[in-house]
Amino acid sequence: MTPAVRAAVSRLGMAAWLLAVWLLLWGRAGAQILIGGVVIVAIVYLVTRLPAVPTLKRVRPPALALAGLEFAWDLLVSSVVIGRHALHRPRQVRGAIIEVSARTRSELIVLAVTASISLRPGTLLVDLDWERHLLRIHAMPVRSQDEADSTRDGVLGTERRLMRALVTSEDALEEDESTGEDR
Amino acid sequence: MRAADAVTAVLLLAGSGFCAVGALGMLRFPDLLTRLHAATKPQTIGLLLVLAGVAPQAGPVTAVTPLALVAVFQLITAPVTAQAIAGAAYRAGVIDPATLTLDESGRGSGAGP
Repeated sequence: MTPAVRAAVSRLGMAAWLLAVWLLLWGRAGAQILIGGVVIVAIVYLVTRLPAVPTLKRVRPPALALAGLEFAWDLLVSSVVIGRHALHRPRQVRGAIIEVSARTRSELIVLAVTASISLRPGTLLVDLDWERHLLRIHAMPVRSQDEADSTRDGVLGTERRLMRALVTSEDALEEDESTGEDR
Repeated sequence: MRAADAVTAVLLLAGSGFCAVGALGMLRFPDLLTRLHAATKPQTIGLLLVLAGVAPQAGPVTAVTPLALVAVFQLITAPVTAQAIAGAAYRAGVIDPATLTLDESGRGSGAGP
């Protein structure tokens, strides 16, 4: 795919998503609603030129389903952990700011990783240094270096799962160049 | 309808429980970042559970789809808000070092660069 084709595909994807939201808001699909939606999307496109979202090279559905399940499980478990701390001695809860070096070179994966980090109780993105591929994350509860390290491993695990599920052109390039070596 | 009612009852109660805990955490945690954890996340899962609880009662599929939209937009927007506030606090250097066991960036507690 040439960059121009890719940009067009990604804009079309965005337009399809807008149309889907429109149809969902109506809750039914009729000819009038569909035509109205297409007109609205066309107007939005003309006004904003819809951002070209980075496209994916390949999606592995089983890995994506697995990543989704693990995310839901993490969300539930750590909500309970935070809830317990809210009920029991909340003043003594301690956090930490930890740095995690991102392995991915794709903005889309970083977006997915940071959204997943920030949605999950216990971790929160505070800063992103894209030049050095560094994520600064606030984690709680963290009382020791060991707990900070296990939080870091959790974030790296999330990244690994998402990279396995979503293959982007940037990361595919990286794998070819570095012969799959960990850094 | 009994099974659907039972599912709704359980999910609604669990969802409101998470929301209540989130509010409690926001009240009781010591500083901005920990409060942000409590404010944005148990609340998110609480909302998802409430929506899932409402869905069996909503009747036709067309009445359920807006609930799905609410869930999707909550999942998209909640992290953005949380990151914006946390990032602002970090860069402004207003994070209280007393609440951190460790700060690998060595910056969050200072007055900024």
